[in-house]
Amino acid sequence: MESKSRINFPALYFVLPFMLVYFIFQIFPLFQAVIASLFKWDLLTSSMSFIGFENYIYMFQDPTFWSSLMNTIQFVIYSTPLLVGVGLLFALLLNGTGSKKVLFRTAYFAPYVFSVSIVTLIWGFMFNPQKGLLGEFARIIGEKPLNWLTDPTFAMPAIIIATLWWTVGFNMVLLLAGLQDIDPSLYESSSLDGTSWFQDLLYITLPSLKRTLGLVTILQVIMSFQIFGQVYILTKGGPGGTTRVLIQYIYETGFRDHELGYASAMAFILFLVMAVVSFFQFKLSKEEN
Amino acid sequence: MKKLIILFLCLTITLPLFANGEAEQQSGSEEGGVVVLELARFFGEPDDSLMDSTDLSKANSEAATIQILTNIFNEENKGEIRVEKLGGSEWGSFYDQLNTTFAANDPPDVAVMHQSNMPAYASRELLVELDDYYTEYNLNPSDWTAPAKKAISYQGSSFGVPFDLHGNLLHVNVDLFKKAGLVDDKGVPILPTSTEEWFEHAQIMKEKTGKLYWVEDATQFPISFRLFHTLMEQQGVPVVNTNTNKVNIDSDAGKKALQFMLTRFEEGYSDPNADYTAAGELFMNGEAAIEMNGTWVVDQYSQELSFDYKAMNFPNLMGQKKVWANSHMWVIPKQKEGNRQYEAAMKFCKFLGDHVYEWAAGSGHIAPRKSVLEELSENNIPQRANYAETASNASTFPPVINYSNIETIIKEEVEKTWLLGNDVDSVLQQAQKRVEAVLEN
Amino acid sequence: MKAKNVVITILLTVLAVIWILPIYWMIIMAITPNDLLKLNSTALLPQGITLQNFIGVLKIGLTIRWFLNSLIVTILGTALTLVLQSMAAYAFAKMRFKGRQLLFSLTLAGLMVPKEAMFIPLFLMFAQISGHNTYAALYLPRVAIPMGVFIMSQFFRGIPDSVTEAAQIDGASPLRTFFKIIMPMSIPALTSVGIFTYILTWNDYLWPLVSATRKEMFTITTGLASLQGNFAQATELGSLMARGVVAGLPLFILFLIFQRHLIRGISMSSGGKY
Repeated sequence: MESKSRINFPALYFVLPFMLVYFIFQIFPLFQAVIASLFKWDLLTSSMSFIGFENYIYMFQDPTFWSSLMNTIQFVIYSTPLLVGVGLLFALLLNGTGSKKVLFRTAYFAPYVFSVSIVTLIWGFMFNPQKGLLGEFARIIGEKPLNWLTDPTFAMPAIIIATLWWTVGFNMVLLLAGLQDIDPSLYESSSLDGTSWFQDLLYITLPSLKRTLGLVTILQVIMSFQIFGQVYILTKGGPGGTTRVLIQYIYETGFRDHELGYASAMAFILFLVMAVVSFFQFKLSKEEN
Repeated sequence: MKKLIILFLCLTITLPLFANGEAEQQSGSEEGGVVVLELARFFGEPDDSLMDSTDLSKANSEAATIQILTNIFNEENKGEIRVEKLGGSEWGSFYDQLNTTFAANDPPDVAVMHQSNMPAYASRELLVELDDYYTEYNLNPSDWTAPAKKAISYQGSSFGVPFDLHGNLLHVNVDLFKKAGLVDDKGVPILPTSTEEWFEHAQIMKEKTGKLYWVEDATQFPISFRLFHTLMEQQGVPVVNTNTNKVNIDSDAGKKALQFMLTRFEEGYSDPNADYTAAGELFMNGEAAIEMNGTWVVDQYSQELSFDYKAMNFPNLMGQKKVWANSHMWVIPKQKEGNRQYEAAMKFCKFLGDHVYEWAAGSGHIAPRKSVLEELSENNIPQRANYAETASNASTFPPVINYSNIETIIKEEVEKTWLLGNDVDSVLQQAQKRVEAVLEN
Repeated sequence: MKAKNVVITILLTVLAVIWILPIYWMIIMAITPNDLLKLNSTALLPQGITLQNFIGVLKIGLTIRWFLNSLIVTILGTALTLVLQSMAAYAFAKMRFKGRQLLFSLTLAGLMVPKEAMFIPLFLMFAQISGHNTYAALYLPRVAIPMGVFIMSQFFRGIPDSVTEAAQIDGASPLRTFFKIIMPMSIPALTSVGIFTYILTWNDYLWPLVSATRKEMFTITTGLASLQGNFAQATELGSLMARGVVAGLPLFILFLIFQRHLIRGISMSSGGKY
């Protein structure tokens, strides 16, 4: 595996430029966040005073922090199975070759290339009871249009629907890649036994896909934890604060309430939560390699 | 070769940081002798066709009026000063964006601010004190109304050029009121004088017309906060008393106010899920007899509505004639040395201060100058007489340095009663606790 | 068997229509006059066709400028990511030096840092050197995310040592070997990492939101977002949608052309392959 050459100096050229960028923009900010979290730090004047763990103590008593965290977790819990499940369904139905399948894949993946503000532009109006297609559809089938974005019952589902439409194609592609890695000879032997498609799925496909599914799930959890754009543009956290997510609260704390120290403390907690999740991801991918 | 590549890499990383062509346009730059003023404001942007217009007769909204005024200023000062609008025009995140410019030590040369938000900046000494500039630039503070003077001052100093006073109004569909029989002999809509009467009228409206009595944005912008504040002030109990640093949300007055707000939805006289656009549309489409919204839609409604429209003062429902109000002003953020162009900035502020007539006439806001108020009433601008009293009933939020946060908390908490079914007492306690925590911090 | 296939095809078609309908609707609104949309915005066939909305995009407002900003930021960010990260990955995979293992682990650990949560220290850092509202501020933090190092090092490990050794015997320097021999061999992997980086950079929202506060420095993502949520948005629906189309279509077309690379790139980025 290792190269036999003993050259050391060129390695420096190779590694240094990236390491420089990496330390400045990835590692250093993390440390700065930890340090900032121990200060009362004003955004507008940059004045700071050391307050120890007070930001963390305040955090545990701050109902908005908790509700934002719970909303985020709620989004993660509802969106992840949907995004992975629908992605898996698409992947299973579209596995293989053929121009029709390519066409469908293209259709399901297409929204992923849009930026979040195009997604919210489209869905902000899709959900609008008077102007949107969903409202029109409700009227056609004789129902009253739902107030998707302003009714607390439907606001989070609306965010999830928009997210599903936007990113499920990404998971589909990951899972398609996993499906294509399955050794075809496994199916050959089973077809001799005359097993059904469903049995194949249960006993061959899903077990072989276990690792990819695990990876996709964890990747999805990490992505979902960082949700911000859809919520911030579509509902601004409303109605009644029911869709405010953690990143949004960090943003508001830092840039609306000018409390950089407190915002950093929350960012650090989010980092810890995600580090734990990522740790499982690494363990999972290591196990198989 | 090696070295060249490394050099190239280093350059690509570091160079764009500092050399960015147009991007590196620092606040307060001069281009060929022209002073470029950066302007941070909300009010939105008008139709594409008005972006370059200098025709004030087309000024029929906030967005159009401010854009046209800016264009006129640029025209008048061609070759000397050019005002350029900064950042996004979105109202909801204006201060967040403004804050980032302060934090990056690169604030705009001129910014619009609400009376309620100015203290956050003035208390941090981020704004230029303007007392000395007023005389130098021939602004006449004695012409300013009392609310206007109060709006621009913080702890004894003045920080802005007043632009308007704006408050909650009732926008009324007179046709529906006639149909319901809720008009006097002259055909003027009768508004309730108590909460009991409110429900009686709402019931009559429902029976006679089948329409909603009253709508407002109950989910999106902080309009619920404004109503809550109004109802508290009408009972003589301020939401926050800054003299004693006491929060009065969790009180009998708070309970009475919120219970009233909630019951309107529970009894089906108002739409609890309406956002800003939906509330406006319900009213404009004749589905609701009253819309509670600010002064800024008066001119749009006067021109666009197909039914008989009347703007009216917010009624006295709980004892005193009070209504939520706020005001817009122009401020000059302090700049680091080398970027200061306070004179040009002041010239622009003065220009805007001189054109509050056009602003008030074009938007519906209440002018901050006595002379202009007289002029406006002499010229019989539509609707203005109907809500003249709003100026004297205006009740603004006391100066606090965390206004945005407090406003959001109260809005969000009170909404929980009709959106989530939380009970009034627990909501009030929660809001009380959260606002106290903010004030302490 | 046959019946099952028909059912599946119908199901897939219905879903595909649902998936494409919102995009189609945006395009329909973009070519419909604003006045007509005020009355009815839910028609699926154009009630009237106009190019006025698109002319408005080109003539007024900064949509084109934002688009170019996004293009510059994304291209610079992607190019730097590819060069710097694959160089580092190559060193980690093929060279021996002190601290290699430590640095590599440290780099991989960086994958755990939630990009979206770290915007505050980054913001302060750029504020201190007056670096906001520059292109570099927009793309440099993205270059630091070590996903490419991770993928490329796996790819380089798969290259037999004999290839590099042969080059060294010919007297080529390591840099020369890397750029002349290794990089050309790695084009499929580079394409995939490149396209993946491109999409993620293009879609960045939170960081450009705080870093670029001058509207001439907005990216298309933040710029378009700034036009939404306005009081006036409903009155000019067609213009708004036209901006959405202008912002979305180029990448959409690129996607249609390069979709095979893109899809492969994504499956590699998951670490699921190799």
